[in-house]
Amino acid sequence: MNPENNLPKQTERETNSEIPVNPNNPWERLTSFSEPPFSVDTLRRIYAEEGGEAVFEQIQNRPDPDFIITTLQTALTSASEYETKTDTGFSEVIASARKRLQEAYLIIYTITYGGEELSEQQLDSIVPIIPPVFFTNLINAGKLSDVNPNDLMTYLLDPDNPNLPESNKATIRRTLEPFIRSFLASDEANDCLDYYLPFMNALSQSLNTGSIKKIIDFANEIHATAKRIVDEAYEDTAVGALSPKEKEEDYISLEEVYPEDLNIEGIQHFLGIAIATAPLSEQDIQKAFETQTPETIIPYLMEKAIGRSRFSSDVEKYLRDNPEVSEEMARRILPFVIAYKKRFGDPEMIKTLSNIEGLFEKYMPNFSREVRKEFARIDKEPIDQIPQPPSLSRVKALSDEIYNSLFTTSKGGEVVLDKKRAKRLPRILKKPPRKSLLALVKNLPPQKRRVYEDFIKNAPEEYVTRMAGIIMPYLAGVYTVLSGRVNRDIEKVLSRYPETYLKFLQGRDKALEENLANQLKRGFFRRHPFLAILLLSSLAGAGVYLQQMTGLNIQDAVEIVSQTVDVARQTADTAVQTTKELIQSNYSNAMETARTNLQRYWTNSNVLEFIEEALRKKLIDSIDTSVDIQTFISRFY
Amino acid sequence: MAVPKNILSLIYNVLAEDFINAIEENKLSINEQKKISSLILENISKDKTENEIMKFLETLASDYPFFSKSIETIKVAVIEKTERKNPKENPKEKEVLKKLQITLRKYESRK
Repeated sequence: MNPENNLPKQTERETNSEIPVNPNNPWERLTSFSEPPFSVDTLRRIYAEEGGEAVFEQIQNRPDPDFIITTLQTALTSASEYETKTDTGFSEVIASARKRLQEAYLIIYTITYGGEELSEQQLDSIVPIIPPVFFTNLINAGKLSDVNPNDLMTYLLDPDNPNLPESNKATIRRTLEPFIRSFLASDEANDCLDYYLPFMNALSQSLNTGSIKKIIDFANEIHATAKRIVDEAYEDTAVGALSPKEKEEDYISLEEVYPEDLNIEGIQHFLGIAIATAPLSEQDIQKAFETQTPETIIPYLMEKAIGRSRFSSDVEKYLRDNPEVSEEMARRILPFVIAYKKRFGDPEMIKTLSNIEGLFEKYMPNFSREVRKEFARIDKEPIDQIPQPPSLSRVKALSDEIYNSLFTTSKGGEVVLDKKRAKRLPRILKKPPRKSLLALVKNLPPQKRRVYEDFIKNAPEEYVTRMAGIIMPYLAGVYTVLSGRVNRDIEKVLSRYPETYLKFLQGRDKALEENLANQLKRGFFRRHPFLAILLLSSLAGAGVYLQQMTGLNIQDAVEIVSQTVDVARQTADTAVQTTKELIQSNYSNAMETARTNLQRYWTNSNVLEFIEEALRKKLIDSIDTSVDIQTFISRFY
Repeated sequence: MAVPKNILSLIYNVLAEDFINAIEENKLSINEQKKISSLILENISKDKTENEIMKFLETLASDYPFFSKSIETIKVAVIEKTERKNPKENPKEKEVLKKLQITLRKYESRK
């Protein structure tokens, strides 16, 4: 090995007598690994100066290659186990980085030891571990890409560096410098740090004193850096925060959501027009992707575009001014619009899509015969008549419509509870889902009522159940607050939809969560205090809404939200149990548990008082004064 | 009987010379160097008797032949020093033994 690398052998003996090596501490012994070998001249000098016994002592105390190999093999095993837990792509990067680091190690090893006595197999076992000297400059850099190769060179050539003999410095520079420069410039540099986590952990646990403190710092730094890199890498992916199983379940491509006949190209083209004609900004699109699910994003964007007054005229103008592309656009977009309209059961969405369809139909006579024929065929073709499930925002909108229908305007112009309607609510809610929903929409204005009735009558059972699972418990909560008592029928309603309700309350339903946040901004808390209490009491995500509900200043809100995150994390199990108890009508116990949790984790009494005071105030201000809300609240707080 | 410190030093020095020569001639790997050093330090100490040390040296010489010459030198040196240390012994007998040892060594080296 040595002749192959054409590297000079050690000629001087250098020891670091200031650092006592504890033979019982393998890691300390490992750090002495960098002590260079003894040349014959050195041995003769030792013999002449200190006698024969000193020769044997010096050689005995030299690091034991077998020990080093064993230690490093252990670290390697640990690292490999870690490596297999990461995903394949990352492993490939690490493997690639490791290969390059192996080369570096070989070079360093060869320089300092002459590569004596270690077989290729042995080298293969230990080379994944780079001597600390190679990374020490990371202490001040944070990550490899920030390390200035010149600084590293300076370190390597440090006259006080006991690891590197003076005679080999030129060789080190000549051999290592190109490699280090190349390595640090590569993308692999940071990724490779992850590979060293287990080793560094073991190192930091084992080293704890004196002269090697810098290695501990170094290990900690590497650890933190690697962790940050890994976190950032995962944050960069939309599914990064999920477990592999969740990734598989939750990561759904647009193509999977929309069948082929819905024409993905058409969707993209529509978005292109929407941006080109300026009703949708890039920020709108960006926000849509951040807040909407694959299921809701297109309706959301269309609604946003159509909702802007200039959209139709802008698109018309665009089509008129660009006759050569209008046919092509229609060819791409219309099949999508028609198919989507047929599939999508939501009445508002159908209206939106019809507007778009009408826009293109206006220009239809100008299109080629072939295209017109094609449109006619698509239009007549019966595409699955099964309506799509309503978007959650639509369901929420419907529940608000129903909620509002419980109120009426008094002669004095005030909005007051329609007691007759409210009184009927428990009986309506306890009916089977479809019948219950049909009864609830009866109070809506005629036009809306017809639309919703059509949908509820024709929708598959699962969609109706889904809607009911959100609307019923919600209205049951509203009724409880308004009446100040827990009705037996209401208890049945709450226990009928545990899964849906739990999912909703645990914040897993992103679309609804977003909608709820928007509602809160518009005074949701005032109108739905019961739900607000639930959210505030113990459930994950409560803090997110707090700022919206109470109008806290940012600093206070941040404090509460951060505490809430902890609450959510620490009380996840309790929260689920609390909710289950609540749904199972063990109402008082549930709220008592919630209150205990609140007090246990929100230790800041000012915050606690603030929340309670805000609750009381908001409730009292907003609820019909005929209801003894104080009694209601005092039952729980 | 414990071996005096000066004799231990002598043994170490004689062994070290042959040891360094063997390293120079690439006869020893790093592992072997360490192993031999440990063996020597462990078995040649003031805690050992002269007989134990001599027995160890015989074994060492049989495992590592380049030490054979040293062993003989050591034996002679040990005897000389022991004689010096025990002047009451018969000088004539001692002289005969010495001549005999020298003759044996010459004979061995010729062989």
